[in-house]
Amino acid sequence: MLNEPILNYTFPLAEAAEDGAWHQANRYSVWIGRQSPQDPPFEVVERHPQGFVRLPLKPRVMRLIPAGTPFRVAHLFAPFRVSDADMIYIRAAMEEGVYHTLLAATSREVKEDHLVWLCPSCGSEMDRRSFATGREGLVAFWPFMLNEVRAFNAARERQSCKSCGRRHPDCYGFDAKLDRPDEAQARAEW
Amino acid sequence: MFTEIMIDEKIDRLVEDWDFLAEHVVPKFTMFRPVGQNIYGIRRRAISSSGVIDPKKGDISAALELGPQGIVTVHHRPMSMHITAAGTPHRVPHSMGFWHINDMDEIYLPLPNPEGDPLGHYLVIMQTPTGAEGDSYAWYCDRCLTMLFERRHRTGELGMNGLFKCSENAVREYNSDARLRTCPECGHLNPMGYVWNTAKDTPEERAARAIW
Repeated sequence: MLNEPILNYTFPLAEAAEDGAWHQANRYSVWIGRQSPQDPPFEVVERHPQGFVRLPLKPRVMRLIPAGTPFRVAHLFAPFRVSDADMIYIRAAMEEGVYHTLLAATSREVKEDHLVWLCPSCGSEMDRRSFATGREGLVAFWPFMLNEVRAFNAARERQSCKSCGRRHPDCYGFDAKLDRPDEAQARAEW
Repeated sequence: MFTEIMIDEKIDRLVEDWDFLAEHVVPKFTMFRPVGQNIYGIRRRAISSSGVIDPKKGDISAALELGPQGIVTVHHRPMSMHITAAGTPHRVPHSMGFWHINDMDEIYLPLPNPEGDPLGHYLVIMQTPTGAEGDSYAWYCDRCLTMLFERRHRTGELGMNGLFKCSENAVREYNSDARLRTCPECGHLNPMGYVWNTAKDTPEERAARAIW
């Protein structure tokens, strides 16, 4: 028996934030998180030609991070991600906490995501790993990211910037529940 | 503690309109505006814990979607994201006097009024159509859901220009002939259609808006 098509998707933000997982809703991938005032605030950091830019922590923000812009969200995931897809970031401070929403759509143009390690000192690209998001889907990108983060953290020779010599700090995956001690410490720090 | 080296310039100076919800930017999204791979609409509305109130149309929290189960009511609640899947006919009673069929997904997110602000943000986001993708305006029989009339805008080719005009033309054409509104299956005479913008209502369309 065929399942009926899903015609609509509803994500109450509070419930989706409890769940903490990425969801695929037709062509959109959705993640929602909630932080309390005690948590180190998630901050979007973008790499522009002029350098790294940190978005201000306004109570309410909707930011389109254009395709091709390296970005990371401090305390949520590191290193930087570059995608063929635009990423929409929404921040909404409410009485019960601050909600963060990430939204990205698939299309024929969206083929790859990249993990990019950028030197925090001089901005040079130190390393890159690619993922076929068009084929595998964005939800599958995050487990890939965790594996690559662990491989990078374990390889001292990859962590030294060839341009300026600075050591790249340890990185961390998307899901804090999966953190190893070194990843948890890195997440707390940057 | 590790810190990256940040540039001194503020993002406002580097990226124009970086925050779509900034007070001076929101007016640019009062209709629909394509930016990058998506199209955005931002409406300032009173959004309380009970629902979404449009200053002109009243309570527009309930939307209708047409699927295999027939017409389903979807409540757009504050702090709850709703995604209408591509291809699903949908409408909002008293706001859209037609069924909109979008080849792209539509996302709705009502964010309640920030502290000290009488109006919240009602966000609508959809992918930008390309190629043969587009929008249709359709009417189905109230009684038996037989499709009565449809007009299509080739948004992927023509862009957003002409989209609202297409809906207006479709409404006027549908309203011009009672035979178009009469169901060929069950014979029911359906009410007139009306456009999204209340200012464009004729007296007959205003009456239809009050009905459905």
